[in-house]
Amino acid sequence: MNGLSVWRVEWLRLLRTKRLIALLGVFVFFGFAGPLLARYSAQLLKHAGGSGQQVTIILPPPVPADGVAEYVSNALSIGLIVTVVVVAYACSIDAKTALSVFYRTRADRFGDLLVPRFAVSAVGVVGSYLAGLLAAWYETAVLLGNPGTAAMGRTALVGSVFLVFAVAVTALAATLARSTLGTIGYALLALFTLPLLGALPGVSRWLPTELIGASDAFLRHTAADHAQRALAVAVVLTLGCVVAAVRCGARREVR
Amino acid sequence: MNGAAVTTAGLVRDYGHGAGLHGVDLEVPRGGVYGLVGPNGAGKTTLLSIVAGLRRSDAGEVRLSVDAGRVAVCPDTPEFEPWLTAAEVVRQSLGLTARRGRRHRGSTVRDTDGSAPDPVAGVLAEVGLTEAADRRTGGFSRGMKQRLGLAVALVLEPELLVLDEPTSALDPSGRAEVLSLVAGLGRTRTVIFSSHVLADVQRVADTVGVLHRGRLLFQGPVRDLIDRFLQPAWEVRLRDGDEQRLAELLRHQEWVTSVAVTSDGSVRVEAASTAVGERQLPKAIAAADAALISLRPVDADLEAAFLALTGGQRGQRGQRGQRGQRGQRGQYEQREQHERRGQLDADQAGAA
Repeated sequence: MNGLSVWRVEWLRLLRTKRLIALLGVFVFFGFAGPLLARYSAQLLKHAGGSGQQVTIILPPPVPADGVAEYVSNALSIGLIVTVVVVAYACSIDAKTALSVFYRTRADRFGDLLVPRFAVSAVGVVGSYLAGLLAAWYETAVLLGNPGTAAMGRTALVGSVFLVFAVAVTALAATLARSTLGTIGYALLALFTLPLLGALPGVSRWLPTELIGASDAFLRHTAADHAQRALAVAVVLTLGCVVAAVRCGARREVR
Repeated sequence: MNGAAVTTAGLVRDYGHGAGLHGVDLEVPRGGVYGLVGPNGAGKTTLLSIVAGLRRSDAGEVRLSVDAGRVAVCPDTPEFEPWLTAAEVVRQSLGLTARRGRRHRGSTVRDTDGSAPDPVAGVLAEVGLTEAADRRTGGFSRGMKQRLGLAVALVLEPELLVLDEPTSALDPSGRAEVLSLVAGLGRTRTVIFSSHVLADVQRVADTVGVLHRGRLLFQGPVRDLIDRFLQPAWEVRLRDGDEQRLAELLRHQEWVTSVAVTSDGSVRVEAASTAVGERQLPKAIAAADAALISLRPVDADLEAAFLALTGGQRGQRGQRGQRGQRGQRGQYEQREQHERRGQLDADQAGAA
């Protein structure tokens, strides 16, 4: 068999376009920077204020949860933007007409093209997030103490599910927008306006964006029962986005 | 190789303002090269896209007598993932269709045993990209991408190959190679070949379809188009002084439709039909007692026939191009075109 499988092509896409390096770079950077920031933020603020400052800011002494929470916060905001950009470039199958002709005249179903892109992108993003989390865990353990294996496991789970949800939203956006920039715009708009739905009574605890706050609750050992609901909704919405993306893409014409 | 490989019936795709397709009844014979010609905006790409299943029609239907999985399409400027090498792109083409092959037939298009020659190297050699096989396509020129576009189509061993302007970015030698390749492919499969370069279509196509403003004006053998819309012509070269005498004699012949002595001293004669010209012209030369140097038929080209059919003008290209001597025929051609258009309309009305 001489063919190059779609899965292998998607893996090469991550490697050769340096997108995996970009993802790893961003998440691992925040993984090392988060605990440092948590450990030394009081000293940084003190030096930034200068000697003539009238106001004294007193921060509580940092705890292990602060180091990892700092990473999760950065990873699921700035890291999320990088994720959307990387996935948008992978999933915008129709952004270039001639390339779209190449793919669409060979694949039997649109899902054969989109699902591997979604899956490999998700693996790349989650892998990078977990690599950053490991870095944050190690450095937090060194600087502030161990936040606990169970809490780290739950943090890894909710963060990963949220990022996979973001990948699915971006894949759907890619079948609605024609260009890659349009895909990025649609996906970021959806992901950053989703928390606004939380203003509706009884809705906020069901939103996937609730997962971002849930990891903080896990790390500080406070109640996070609602995370199960948000997790379930995120999984259902992820599957829904992928199915909708496959259907929208299949119906679309090549320009 | 009998019957039609592709048939469309009353195909309509209306983009508004007259653009699109307006009732196209295409019939592409199985086997051979079908040349689709037409000016920009005629609807060629739309028609080929609908045939390939990339666009939908507003009305009408497309019937393919080949398996949809055995249709390969090559756009005019193919694009590939720039981070894959040429060989990887060909293997990617195989990999994408292998999934389809497994689903439909339980095997792949190119499931080969270990002793079989490598099809990837074979098609790359066929299109002249052996040396670039391990180069990433991001650095390829447009011409190289066109060659690779052919390779990724050929590796699938399609029954129907749709080529949209496959030579538009090639240099003269590359163009000749690809045309030769296309002509060869037409012997074993069905090729639909669209091009603005009518000489290319004339060179490789067995059948031609003339698309103009979304309507198919003519469909049939290339020879029929030329014979139907252009009058046969010959160029006679004589010893000095004899050409005026022959021209004078020919002007009084009923079968002659046009006589002109060109600037290089030869006599250009147009006849009502090929048969009568071939019989009568030698007799006329003998009757004029002229010393004959050469007598040759003037090649009737598809471009002239196309322009006659669509009501266009050869214009400046005819005056400055390789057939510059025909510039003086412009007025005659335009008059003839009007007459032929009338004849075409009458023919179409009769056919209806």
